Amino acid sequence: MKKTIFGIIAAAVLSVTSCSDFLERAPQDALSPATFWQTESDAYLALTGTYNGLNNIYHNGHWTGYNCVMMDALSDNLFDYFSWEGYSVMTTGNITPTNNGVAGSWYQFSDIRACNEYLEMEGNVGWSTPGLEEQYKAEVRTIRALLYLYRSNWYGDFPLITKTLSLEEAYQQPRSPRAEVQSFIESELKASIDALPDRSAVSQGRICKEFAQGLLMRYYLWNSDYRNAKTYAEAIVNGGKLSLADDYRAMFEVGNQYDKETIFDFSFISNTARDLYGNPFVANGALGGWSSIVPTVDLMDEFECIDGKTIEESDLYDPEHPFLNRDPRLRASMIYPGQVYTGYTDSQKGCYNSLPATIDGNNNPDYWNNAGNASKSGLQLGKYFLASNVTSDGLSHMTVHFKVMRYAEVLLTLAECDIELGDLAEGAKYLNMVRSRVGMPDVAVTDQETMRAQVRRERRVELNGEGLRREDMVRWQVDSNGKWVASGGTPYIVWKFQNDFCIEHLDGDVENYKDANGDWVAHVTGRTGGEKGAQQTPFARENFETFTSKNIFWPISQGTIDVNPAIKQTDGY
Amino acid sequence: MKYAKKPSPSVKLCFMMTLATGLLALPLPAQANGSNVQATQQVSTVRGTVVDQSGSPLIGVSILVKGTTTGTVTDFDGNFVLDVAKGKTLEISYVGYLTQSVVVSGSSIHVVMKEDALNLEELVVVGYGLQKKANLTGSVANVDNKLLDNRPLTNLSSGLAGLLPGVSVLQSSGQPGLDVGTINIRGIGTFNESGPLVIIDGFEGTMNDVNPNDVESISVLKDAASSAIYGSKAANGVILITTKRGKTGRAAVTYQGLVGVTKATDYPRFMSSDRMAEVWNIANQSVGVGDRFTQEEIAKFRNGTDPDNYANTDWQGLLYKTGLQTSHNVTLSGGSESAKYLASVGYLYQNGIVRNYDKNQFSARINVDINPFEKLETSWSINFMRQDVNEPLPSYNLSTSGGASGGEFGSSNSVYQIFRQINVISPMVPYKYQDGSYGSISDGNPIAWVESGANGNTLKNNLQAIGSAKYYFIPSLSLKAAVAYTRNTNDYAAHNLRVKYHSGSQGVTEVAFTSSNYERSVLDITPEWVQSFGGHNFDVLAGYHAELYKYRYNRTYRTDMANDVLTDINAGSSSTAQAEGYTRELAMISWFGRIAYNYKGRYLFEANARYDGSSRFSKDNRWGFFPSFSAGWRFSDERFWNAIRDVVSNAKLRLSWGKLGNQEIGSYYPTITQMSLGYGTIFDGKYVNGTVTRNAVNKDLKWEATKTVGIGLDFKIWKLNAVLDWYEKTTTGILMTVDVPAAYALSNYYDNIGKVRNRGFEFGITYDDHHGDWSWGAGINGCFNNNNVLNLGNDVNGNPVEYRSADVDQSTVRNVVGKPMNQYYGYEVDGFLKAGEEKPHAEGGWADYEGSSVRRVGDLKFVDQNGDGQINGDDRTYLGSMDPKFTFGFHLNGSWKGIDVVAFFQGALGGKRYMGDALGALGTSDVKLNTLWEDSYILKGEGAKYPNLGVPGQNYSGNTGQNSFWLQNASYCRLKELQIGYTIPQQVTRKIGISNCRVFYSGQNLLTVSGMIKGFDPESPSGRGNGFPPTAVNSFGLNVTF
Repeated sequence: MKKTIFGIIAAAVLSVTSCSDFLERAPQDALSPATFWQTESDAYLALTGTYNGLNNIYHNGHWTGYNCVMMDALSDNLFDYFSWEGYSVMTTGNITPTNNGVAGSWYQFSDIRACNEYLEMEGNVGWSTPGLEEQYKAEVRTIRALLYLYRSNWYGDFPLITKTLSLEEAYQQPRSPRAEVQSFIESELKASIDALPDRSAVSQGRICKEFAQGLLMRYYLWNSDYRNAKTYAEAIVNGGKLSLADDYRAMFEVGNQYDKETIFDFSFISNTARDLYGNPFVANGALGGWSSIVPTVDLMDEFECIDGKTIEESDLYDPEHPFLNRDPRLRASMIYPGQVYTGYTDSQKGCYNSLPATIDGNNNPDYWNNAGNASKSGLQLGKYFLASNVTSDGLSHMTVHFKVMRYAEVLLTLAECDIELGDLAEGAKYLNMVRSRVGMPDVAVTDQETMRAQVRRERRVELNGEGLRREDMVRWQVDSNGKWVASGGTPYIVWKFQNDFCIEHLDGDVENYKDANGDWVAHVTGRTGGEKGAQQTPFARENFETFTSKNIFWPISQGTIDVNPAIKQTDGY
Repeated sequence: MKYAKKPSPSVKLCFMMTLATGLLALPLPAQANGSNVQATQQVSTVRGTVVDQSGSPLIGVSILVKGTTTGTVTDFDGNFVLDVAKGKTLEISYVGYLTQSVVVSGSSIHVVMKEDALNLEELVVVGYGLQKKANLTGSVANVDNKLLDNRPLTNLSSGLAGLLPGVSVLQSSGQPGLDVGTINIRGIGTFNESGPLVIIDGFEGTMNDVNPNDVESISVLKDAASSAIYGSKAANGVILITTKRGKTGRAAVTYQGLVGVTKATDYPRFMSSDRMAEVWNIANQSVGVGDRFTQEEIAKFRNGTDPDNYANTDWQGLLYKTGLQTSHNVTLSGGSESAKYLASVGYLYQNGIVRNYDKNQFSARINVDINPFEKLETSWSINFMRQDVNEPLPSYNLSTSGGASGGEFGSSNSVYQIFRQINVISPMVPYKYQDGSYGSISDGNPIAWVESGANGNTLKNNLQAIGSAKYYFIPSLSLKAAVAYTRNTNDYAAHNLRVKYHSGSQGVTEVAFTSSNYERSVLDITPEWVQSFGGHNFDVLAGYHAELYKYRYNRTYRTDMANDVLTDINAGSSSTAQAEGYTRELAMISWFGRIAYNYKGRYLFEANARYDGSSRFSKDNRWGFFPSFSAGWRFSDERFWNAIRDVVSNAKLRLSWGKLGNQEIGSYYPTITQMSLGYGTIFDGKYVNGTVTRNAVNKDLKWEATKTVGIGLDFKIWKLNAVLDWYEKTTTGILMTVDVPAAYALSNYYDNIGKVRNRGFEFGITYDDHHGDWSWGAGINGCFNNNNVLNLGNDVNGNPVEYRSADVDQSTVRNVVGKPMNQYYGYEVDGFLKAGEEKPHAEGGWADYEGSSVRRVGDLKFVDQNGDGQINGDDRTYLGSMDPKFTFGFHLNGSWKGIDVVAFFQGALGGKRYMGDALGALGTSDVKLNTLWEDSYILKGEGAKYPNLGVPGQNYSGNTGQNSFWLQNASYCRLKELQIGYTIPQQVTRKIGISNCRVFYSGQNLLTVSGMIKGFDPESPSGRGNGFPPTAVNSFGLNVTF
């Protein structure tokens, strides 16, 4: 008996301890670097991992962090009322190192590190497909250049890191001069273009030659180097792979996203690891949306009337019925009162109506101060969130393809370059290509000053809500009266926020008749809010006066500096 | 039987009586075959009864024929039957009573046992065994289960509250299924998992796995000396739970039933619509703005003539109701000397204090002990518990982007969101319009959610099976092998519904099914040598332990449901299907040992050690060694004590030192470099998987180490038993994440950094006495604990890191060097602003609205800590710790004939709480006014208790928020339990075949005295006040033994 018992116990002990691996446990949901980097499919997994880093630019992971749209909330196009979502503190210039809004989460290196790791390790892969290694490398280098392009625009001086750092190295890493980062971007993009297939040869969402060219175009334009910007814009035009989509409004509807105009997009597909949570974008009344991010009345006023004249000049403009006879892109860009929209009942005429405080004697949940989640301007985002894109049940899992770069931007860049370089007729040609698509009258070839204003307005109208406005507001300059100048003036963003910007809302109701589009006609009886002293944080004009030129570059969060004292704070903070 | 040197305890410890002790009292046989000589004498059957001085039968009393190993024990009625020759002497012994010798003269014997005032034989459960309480050298507290029995406990942890010195239990919620108390032993010593290790019948488990009715005894190992044998998991103390087992004797059936009603202990109260409208007008007038409401409108709020537009909704009344709680337990036990059994089933039903909330719990246990032959003892246990909880769900943010785990049981988007909204939604919002449609605010309508039928179902199934065998090679040397398998499944099915309102609708109709489960397989092998000679007593134990823990998580999800009724995943559209899942493993191997020695019970010495290896750490840092030493001296046994022994009958000094480990840091693979998957992108509308290196690793990571030094004194003066302990517990190398520079671009990594010290003094005093039919007793215990954060590591320049966020709370709580853990951080308030002290615009801002707030007379006056003339974020300071300085409990009990009463109280002094949302504000939709504002400066002027009220639309804020004014004193004393019972005389019950029958009333949480604002519970968690309120329970129960 003793022997038997000993035998059993000894066997039991040995069964555990003789197996020296018993204490070796490894996760089953992650790869081990030791056995990775061998095959082309390994390289593909790591390549898509570097694409994932674009989330840090275009989607910061938060419910509201759809930056491809939200970046316009840092301009005069859109506004995010909710301070906790992190945008308003940046728009008003109240940003500080300890209260730095989304700028805190945008100061990132994990995406850059993934690119550096890829470029360091890809040599270990047993490549066999001809040209694949070069293509992948060019994609990764383009992604890295894009990351640096945004960050050197946002933060100015920014650490230029081109290899994976040890912890010790990371502790010593300072910010590199902006010029150094910018010239790195320039040379990396130039080096990548040739290895990239053109737009027709790659999947949508994958980096093509035209996107790298387009980034170079933006880089030069943002540096007011119109000659080089024109060179790369023309390269895209001459490549012949892209053209304008037929219908401006339809281009932003799900189902039409695979168009001939898109150079690069950043998609959200419902019920995948990257689907879109729609609540921040839609109205409170019907769908329980948050109206986090809404168009400003200031943007609404920028759209011309259909006669090609501004609302100040046009006889077609009726302040009481401001949505009639306007540039059709207004209706494609925003949901204004009277538009038929998903979820509204018959008693609400089936339309979004933010104008009256009560409807049928009931509190109107879309009236600006009736609910926390009512739009504070009385307008809702339309681009990407047209009624056809939004269903009640699908709101929290939406499919949306945000356009990062499309052909119209190339044409407008050519127009702007030509006008700035003095070729006004050529500039008008490109400008009118974009206008004629939506049926707007051609602009005439006049003088440079007039056409500069026209191309700048055209750019705002055509590309509103696509994340390009802040860069334009930073690079464009005005004189002390707010008139556009080519150079030597004040950055437009500083002038506008200090002098001419507030959040207004509209009052009134919808009429009992519809317009040609089938929308109820809005009757606006008043525009209020935003006056000085109105005490409606952060509505009032004085809330934006705090924006100064230091706010062009954002501060680094205090926590980041605390960990690494080699990082010096942005000037002015 | 003769080898049963240390069997498990089996009878109530309350009067220190165990079968085991009875057996222990048997002399150790010199030989294995000590057969007697009864064949040559006249053997007859003797029947006997053993009772205590009050006449109550004693169960499990050991009856031994002197000089032999023949014997038996008494049954439930105190009866025994033994074949013995006349003239033999019976030795009758029982723990807590003086041993008696009775000469057999007739066929029946009646024995009255006298209590042993010193009670040196009482046994307590310690790690891997039993020990005489008198011989303890470490700090071990055991629960007197007189205070656990017959209580309407829905979980075991809440039953421990207030019973033991140094053991604090915070029951922050009355939520059926999640009402488990948070237990801390001798303060919190780490930023990681700070709950104790729970050992059930020798194997790791959770307090929730045990039906309180099945519990025989609970021991708590508080210091390193007593818990070092559990090594790397024992740094936060160890709770040892022993379940009831069968006893020799005829089968006995016990039934216990309870039925009770529950209600919230309290909840915040808010003003009605008309009063809020009046206050609003007053607030407007105070800043020179016109009335917000006309008198006609206020009248409409009051008389309800236009309820659609002038509602006065009692949201809390719509949510809360009286709950029902009922439980039934049946236990069957009995056995012969070679085979004993106990089987029990339990059922518990609770419907919560909110609508559509209920819990069904079923548990079953079988404990069997079989000694197949003389040298082998075996024990077998199977425990099963099923908990089925239904809760209403909000339509609010349930499924988040990417199908994350929103809405899961206990998450902030589960039923908690309903409580939060109930505390904020304005009475001016109609619950329903006249046409039957629901009113709503931006966040929805919490009652519409409850009534929608949206349901979260949690189904937990927990199974534990244990088998052990102990073989005696010789009487003093044994080898025990035990295996245990635990399987715990937790399935959560959420059926979310889209809710339609008067205007608009909210949410998504969808189903999500989450399954998380674990299994733990354990092997323990423990040889033991027990020998005594010439006053020298040795107990030497060695051990080997191996365990494997496997966790698996899976979640599936679909939306686009065919209708609102179907709840299966397949009823949703497959195009919306999502799935995610992962597994985790943890393996451990340990070697351990203990040497206990004493000389005549006067000089005591013990050493424990454990050597643990864990898969969590890298090969080079995998093994940790955890030793402890302790010694005791019973100086009352010394000759010099003779003079005062009549007064101080027992006195013992204890000293201990030991080191323990903690490895619970959340991450299972903190030292393995990984390339994480799931970091992909979308090409052509399809998601493509990708991989990125995200985690930083620290191969040098090792255990947290906690060192404890303790001095204890046990003594008895007259009838007072007292235990005093001083301790110092220092945790070093606390596993903390290290902030890496952003440019490193990998996640923060773990390192052994922090240092926290707990120093304290604890005491427990009990008193019991009886006279005639009367008996009475009292007990008090308390613990002063001084917690101090000593080190939070150094930054890159070598400067000490000053603070880190504690993240225990929704409001700002920090840990800072030199102060107790969990410090509130905010503005210090120095009364109200007086005339002349108000600050113009932009000079008196409050953190969230720096520079944009106006300060008025009657607003809170914030202290300008840095003296720069501005109030901003830099002026925040540490306002005190959440955690109490002193925790205590006391009880009183008494009985007269069949009537018994017990009351016990529990409390804490020195903790703080902050409640944000429930303070309220003026508004028509998503805020309302707490009634406390009736006493605000704006209404009362000078002498008001509370400051001004913010005026909507005006930028007057800053009077609420986290500042010292609103930090409430969470000191409290609570009548945790009051029980009154009556035992029907046995003469009556016996006639109908019932040996014992007791009826009782029990009240839980009946009375609370606290420093909190009315409506806030001192045990509630800090923050938004969105917890499930603690409940008060009134029940009636019946206890019957057949």
